[in-house]
Amino acid sequence: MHLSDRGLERLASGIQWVVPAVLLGFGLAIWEVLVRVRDTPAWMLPPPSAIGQSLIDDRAMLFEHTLATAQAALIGFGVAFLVGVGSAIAITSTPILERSLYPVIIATNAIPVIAIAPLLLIWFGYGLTPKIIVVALICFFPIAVNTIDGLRSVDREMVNLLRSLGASRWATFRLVRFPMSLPYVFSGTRIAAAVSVIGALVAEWVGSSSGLGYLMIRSASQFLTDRVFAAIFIAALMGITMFVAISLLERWLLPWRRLERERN
Amino acid sequence: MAVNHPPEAALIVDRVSKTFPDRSGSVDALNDVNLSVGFGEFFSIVGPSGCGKSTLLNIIAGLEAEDAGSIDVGENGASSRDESRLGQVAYMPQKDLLLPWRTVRQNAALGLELTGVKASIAHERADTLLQQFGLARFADAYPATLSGGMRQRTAFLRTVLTDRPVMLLDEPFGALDALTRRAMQEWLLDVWSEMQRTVLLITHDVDEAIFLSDRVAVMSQRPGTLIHTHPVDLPRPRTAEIVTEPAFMEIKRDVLRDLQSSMSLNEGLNASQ
Repeated sequence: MHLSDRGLERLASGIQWVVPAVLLGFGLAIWEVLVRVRDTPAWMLPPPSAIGQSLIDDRAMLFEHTLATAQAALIGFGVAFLVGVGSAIAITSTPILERSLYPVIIATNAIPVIAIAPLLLIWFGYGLTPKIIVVALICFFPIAVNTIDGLRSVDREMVNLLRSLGASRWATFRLVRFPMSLPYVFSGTRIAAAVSVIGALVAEWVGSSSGLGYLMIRSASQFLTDRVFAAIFIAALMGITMFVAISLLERWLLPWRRLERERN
Repeated sequence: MAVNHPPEAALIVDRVSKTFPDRSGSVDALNDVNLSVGFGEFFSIVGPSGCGKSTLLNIIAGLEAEDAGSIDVGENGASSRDESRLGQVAYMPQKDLLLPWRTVRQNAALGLELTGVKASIAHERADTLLQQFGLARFADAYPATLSGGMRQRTAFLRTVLTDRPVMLLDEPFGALDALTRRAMQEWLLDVWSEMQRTVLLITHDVDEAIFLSDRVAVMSQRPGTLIHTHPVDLPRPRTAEIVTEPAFMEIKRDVLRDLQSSMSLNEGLNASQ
């Protein structure tokens, strides 16, 4: 009974991967056939095979621009993580900051980042700095808001138990409030990781001399549509990779979460 | 009711009253509560829901302030005000409140760690206790994988391990099913007889109170006050069969009568309003 249960589980997790892979392959095949049958010009819609060819032929160029985008996305994401978690802790531990800073955090989400990207260009030039700021602005909100929610989620009775044991505020934070908030921190961080690549691309569209976003704009203006698709493919892969990396980190750091989910 | 404090009292509650502010004015939760628990004594309070039992424990633990009266905890004998009592007693609430990211061993050691004992030493002491009371094979398990009874045992060992002279138990088995509950009561008696710790238990289960205790006090409905204290002169060690013996039944009848009189008194009041 137990063994067959486990076997079923393994089968289920296998299907979980097989189904999307088959769907993707099927979609690509239809795309390839339709483009060839209807003789669509490659500058309008290249077949998947041409995109694959571009990935191989332009690999050196794609690699160089991927590095630039990854650098901006990772640094911006890191900055947003530190500032986001830091301000969430500050806000939830001091009522004055809660009233004064929380609206500011909400406001950062209302800023249309695309609109201020040109301003950042004026202030900081064509370098890495404006890209990092755009990424950090986009990533900051989900991290900060989720961490605040997590730090607020702590059970009143749990805090009372700790108090009855004579725990200091710091001990309560270290032993209960912070670990309790980690699942929330991770869900915010996962979202931020996925949008960090989008942030970097936006910044590169607006003004940059490197990165996948820059390559897309330049290739599109030259009607090198297969290369645009190749860049899109890599960018998507980057976002997915970061998302999966954070999820794996969560599984590793919070093994008890999976046990709780299985129980419910 | 006058209380004669035995000279070796571990916990003395002296004329404690408590009123909570309410939308329509105020609610009297406790009125002139007196009790004294001797060293190593198992003392229970039974009372109807909402009679202020938990409030009394919260006050003794220092989580809430008394409006009047005083409380003495521990050997020092000096009565202390609410906040300074924090950390003086070991308090076990109804919910197990285990930290989900800590294993059974780490949860049991939590109180020790908070008193400044090094984690490795605290874990060692937890292991010894887990071994002693049959939880050794669960030491590395996370709470999510445990049954309600096992979680409650872990919570109880956490309370024991805090090394405070007085333990306050707030309906520790209230959330468990009847069978698990019975097993837990026997297990608790085992642990307690090994530890010789002072215990103040509150419950609304009369059988549980008599089975475990040296004395059982009955609390009235709100505002809570102790109506009568019944000595339980049943030999120890006690087994589950004791609940069917005439001596047990006699005490139970007395306690139930007290409980009923306190309830009907209140119902009479409600009816006249």
